[in-house]
Amino acid sequence: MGLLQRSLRARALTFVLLLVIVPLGVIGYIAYNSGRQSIENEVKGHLESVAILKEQEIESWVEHMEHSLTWLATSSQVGNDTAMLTTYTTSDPEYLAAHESLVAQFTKLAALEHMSPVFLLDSTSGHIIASSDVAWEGKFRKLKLYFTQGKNGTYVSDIFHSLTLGKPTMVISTPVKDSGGQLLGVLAGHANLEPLSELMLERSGLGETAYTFLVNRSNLLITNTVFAPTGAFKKWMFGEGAEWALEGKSGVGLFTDYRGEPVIGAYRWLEERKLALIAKQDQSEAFAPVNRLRSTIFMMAGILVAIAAASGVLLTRQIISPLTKLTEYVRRVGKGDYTAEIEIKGKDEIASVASNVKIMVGQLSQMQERLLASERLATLGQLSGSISHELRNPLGVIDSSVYYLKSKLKGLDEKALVHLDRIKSGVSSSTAIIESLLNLTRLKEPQLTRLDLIAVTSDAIGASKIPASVRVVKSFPEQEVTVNADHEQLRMAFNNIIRNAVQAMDGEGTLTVTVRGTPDKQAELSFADTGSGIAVDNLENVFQPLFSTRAKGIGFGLSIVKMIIEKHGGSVEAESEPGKGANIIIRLPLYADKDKEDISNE
Amino acid sequence: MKKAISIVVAVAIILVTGMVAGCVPQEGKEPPDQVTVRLKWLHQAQFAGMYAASEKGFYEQENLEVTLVPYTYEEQPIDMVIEGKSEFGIAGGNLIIQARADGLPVTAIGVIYQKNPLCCYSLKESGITKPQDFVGKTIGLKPGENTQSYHVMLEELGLDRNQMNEVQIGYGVDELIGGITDVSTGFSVNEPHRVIEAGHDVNVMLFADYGVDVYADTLFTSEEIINSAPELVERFLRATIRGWQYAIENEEEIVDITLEYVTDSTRSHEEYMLEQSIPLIHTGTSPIGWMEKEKWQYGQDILLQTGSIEKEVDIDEVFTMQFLNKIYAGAEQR
Repeated sequence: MGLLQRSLRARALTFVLLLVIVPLGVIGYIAYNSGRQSIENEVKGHLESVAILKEQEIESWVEHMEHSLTWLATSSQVGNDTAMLTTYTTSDPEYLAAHESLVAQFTKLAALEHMSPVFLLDSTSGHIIASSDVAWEGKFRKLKLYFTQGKNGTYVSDIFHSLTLGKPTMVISTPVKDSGGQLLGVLAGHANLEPLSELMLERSGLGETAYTFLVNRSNLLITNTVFAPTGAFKKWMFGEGAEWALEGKSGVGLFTDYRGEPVIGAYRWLEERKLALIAKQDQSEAFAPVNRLRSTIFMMAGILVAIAAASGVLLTRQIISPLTKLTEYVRRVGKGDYTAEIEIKGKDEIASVASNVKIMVGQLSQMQERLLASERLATLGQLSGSISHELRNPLGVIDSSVYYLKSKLKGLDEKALVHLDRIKSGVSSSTAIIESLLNLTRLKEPQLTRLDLIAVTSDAIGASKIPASVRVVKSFPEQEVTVNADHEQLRMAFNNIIRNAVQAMDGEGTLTVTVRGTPDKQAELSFADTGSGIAVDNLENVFQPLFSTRAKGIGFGLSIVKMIIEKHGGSVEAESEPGKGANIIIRLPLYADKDKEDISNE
Repeated sequence: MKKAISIVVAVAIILVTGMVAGCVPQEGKEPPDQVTVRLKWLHQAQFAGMYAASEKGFYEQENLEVTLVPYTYEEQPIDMVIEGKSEFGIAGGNLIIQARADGLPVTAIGVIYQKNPLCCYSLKESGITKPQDFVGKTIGLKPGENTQSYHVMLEELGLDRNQMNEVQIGYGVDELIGGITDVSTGFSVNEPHRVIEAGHDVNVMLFADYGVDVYADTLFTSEEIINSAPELVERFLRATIRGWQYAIENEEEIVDITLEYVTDSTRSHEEYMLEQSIPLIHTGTSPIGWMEKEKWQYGQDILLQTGSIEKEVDIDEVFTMQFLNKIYAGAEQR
């Protein structure tokens, strides 16, 4: 089960295979079973009919001979002749005449009914006294059942092998009585079993392996079969069908025959004859058509399964391969490697996932940077917050000490005063730095009001301590440029930029301040200086906190600017030509009053 | 790796030893019982079932080693069994009854020839077709039961022996062909065919047709053996019956096997004999070896009637069904 959970291919294949196998299996099973059942019923019906038919034919054959013999035995001619034989002796002419008459009648019957020989037995001694075959006369049959039973009534013997005849036969006997009911003799005839053999050998039109046969109580085969043409009386049959019939049952079923083969067979117990009649056919032959069907279904199923599996593999490869690549990519990114690459061809759902993931990764990496920056900032903020506070105290102490010294030490010389002033100036620089640090950490959400950018800018210029050596050029439009902003924060930001520009120019140069509106509903404000400029590589980095290429001063200024402008929904960037100067460009969204149109300049 | 190899080798050795040990037949259990059987005549297809049982391993499966000893006039089977020189023998049913009447404790355990093939045979041109024709003729008698049965038959038919010229003949058919006898006694499965092979037509008169239908070839043993080693008897009988069933179902093969035992015969003769014997061994109505009390009783009656024996014997001592019943348990219930 773990495999199915882990592998899409396994699931897909399993699904496809089940989809193919289960319906095929069900259909095949149903088709096979119903086909087999109908064949079975048909064959059973046929075999049973054949068996019943043959049973009837056997009975009627026996009955026929019984009737013929009985008819002769009860005929007055035979009665008289037999009486003669018992009255006279062999030398008397009456005897001879009667004898001749009997022989003639017997010969006729023998020829007609295929019973040979037909003979008369002496009622006491059991000798054959007249026979259609002269050679039999004088022979002794006292012990035979057909004699002892034949004295009482019509008797049909079992089928047995006759030594005298030299072949299997069946004897039918019947009493010959006089008009008074006295027993005169026993008339007997040996039945020719040819008709019986032919009857059993007759093919029933079912197939090569179908045949019928008779078996006696010792499991001995009585009639020849197609498969044992000389098997009669020489072969023992111990199949299940024979066993059931010999137990007295009649029916149809599936069983194992004497060869150990599965067969369909009808079996009947012939009570009168004490014989078992079996009609059977090999199951392999009977069910051949439905077995062929089953083989075909299996083969088809095999082919379909192979095809389905192959297509399943191909299809899943299309899904799995890109997914694997994607997994690998995401894993690498997850470990922090934002340089990982992925290329997925196509425009399907997976390609779409991949490209979205790429975008997401891009955003992730940006966020990562911002997070790092703000983490740095936060740490810094915390740090600087506490450091600043800590620093303020000693600075305050120094400041007040300097004040005290200055006021108390009136007689100090110039040099000492200069130093004191240096100390004071140093303290105020430190304090300024601390202030700007604190400003960085204290940056609140901007309180947005409707402002004129031009006014704010002018304000900021005025508030910044721009030395006289720096020429300021203003390029403002006539109308208002209205923005939604925090006055204080903007001023602070502009202140920082101006201070930076002144420092970059080393206190000498031109600062050009331009305000204009852009076509895309933004206000643009730029501060261009003529300082040393910024290297191309650093154009973005200048806005990072703590970044500074200057020897003195900590680079907080521009990062504060960036923070402030971005909080206003604007953007800031730097342009520069190293050696010629730098240009800080701020963009802010114009004030958009829902009821009024924007005022765009130029 | 080494360990794996040595395990494989060990297993292989065990397997091979096991197979070899298994191939060796179970003789190691107990040595087979040695048994001799005195046949009723010389080696011929008449005893095909015993050859089958020997050659096809049926005796072996019953843990028996069987030696088949052919007949001689001097060493009659019944005498040999009584003297303890043989365990089993084959003799005609009436001889067994007679032996009992003489006080010899032999018992029949099963019958091979349920129908009696004893016969008289004559050349066709002689015109002798029934015993009544024997009057004034020379009759060649084989010693032993042939003679006895012949006498019984004449008695049954009321014929006077003094009206015939009786002479003793040897094992073959030479006397008849040579004209020394007009009629000779023999077995319907044997001698008549030899006459045909010699180029003459023959008339066969079965004793059974004239009232002497007693059991012919009967397997017997001594009472002592029955009492002391009953399962030996059962095993021997079972294997012998299996042999006969096999012989009947596989004639061709059995003729080949028989020819290995026979001296001085032809293939066609043995084929003929086997073919003729089959219907005698089982007529289809009862299993091979089966015996009916009525028939034994009848046999005794005839012997009494003809004076061959003087007093009745207990017929239940003459034969026993105990072994046949065990072997065919349930088969004859139908």
